[in-house]
Amino acid sequence: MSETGNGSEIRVESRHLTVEHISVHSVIPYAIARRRLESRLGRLHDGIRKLLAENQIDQVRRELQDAAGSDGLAIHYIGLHGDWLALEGGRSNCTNYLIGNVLYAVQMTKVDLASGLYAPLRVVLYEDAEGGSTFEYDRPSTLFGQFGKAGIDDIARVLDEKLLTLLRGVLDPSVQ
Amino acid sequence: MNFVQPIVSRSPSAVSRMVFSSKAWTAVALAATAAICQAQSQPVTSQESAMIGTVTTSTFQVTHESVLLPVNFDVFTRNFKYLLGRYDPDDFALAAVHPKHGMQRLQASQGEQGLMLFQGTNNHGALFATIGQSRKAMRYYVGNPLIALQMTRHNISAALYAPLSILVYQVDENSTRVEYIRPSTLFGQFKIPEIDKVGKTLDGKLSTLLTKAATLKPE
Repeated sequence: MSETGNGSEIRVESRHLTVEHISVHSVIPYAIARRRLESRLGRLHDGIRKLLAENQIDQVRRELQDAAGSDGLAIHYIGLHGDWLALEGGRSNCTNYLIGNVLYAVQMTKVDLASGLYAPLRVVLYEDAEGGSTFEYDRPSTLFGQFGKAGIDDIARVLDEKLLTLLRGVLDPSVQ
Repeated sequence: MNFVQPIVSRSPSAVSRMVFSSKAWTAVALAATAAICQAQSQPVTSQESAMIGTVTTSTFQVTHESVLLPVNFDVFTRNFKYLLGRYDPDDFALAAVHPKHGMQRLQASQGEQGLMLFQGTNNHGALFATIGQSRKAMRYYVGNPLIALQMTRHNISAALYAPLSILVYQVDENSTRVEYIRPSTLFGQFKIPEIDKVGKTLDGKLSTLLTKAATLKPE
């Protein structure tokens, strides 16, 4: 352990950091963007969690690599935000995702466990006012950079590149 | 305020380190939030033309809170989960068809501070087994669709941060660390008063929840 707690008081440490927020927009309709993203990426499924619980580590690594696929990223969770607006009599096309790579996450959390707050990454997709699609997310390297650790920064830069490449590819209007 | 320890700087980010009694924490967090939201969220926008779509970037400042709690990890996480309600997507599906009954179910699902635990919890500790190590660490998702709606109705982009992410990990047998981004600093980037108000309310809800989970005594 890197630290030892003592005493009976709650200690709060606040770090202020500058985050770069990214929006990727195209004329591709929301339904197509969502279908492309969800069909392109693998899933962190319960079978992997079960293998982990059974301590079948080699099989876990293989499954994780398969789930990450050629993009090196997998979907961990899908939340249907847009549907919540139906409670107010409306509905909009909006989905948020947790996207990441467990093998990358461990490489960062073993350096500083606090980095686990940002892994997997959060991405939101919504239909914009013009009928196109927009992805929004915070640039990983600006979140992970606060730890000041080279081992984390190196992976964060890889995530920057992989995520932007993925989302641009999903929104590429030239792809049928 | 029970100020106990001096400022410590930490590269590369500006760091402030303070120690508060649990009773003072909520009030301090709320006061600090108001000041930071006013002073620090300064978006700078640039636009990059791209062959594939358009990429727009802006910057804003957030506050990452790291809270050391004098409580065993297993006790804290047990209390944390006990205090929270559970978000059940079926309640929402019901609300979409039968608004009155669905809303009743959603409201009944609210726990401490009106908050619920969402699915998708990440067991970061278990993943340490892939590198032959053992740690206790969980990333939880906490929120309330009814609270999220108060923000997304004004700007759908707020959905990126709801529900909130909270990382909890073991420091030693008697202490646990919790990491999260102060909600008001995330939602403050949108510069919409109605969203700011909800963000500040979430600051207080979260600190109260964590304090209660750290201090809850068995019946």
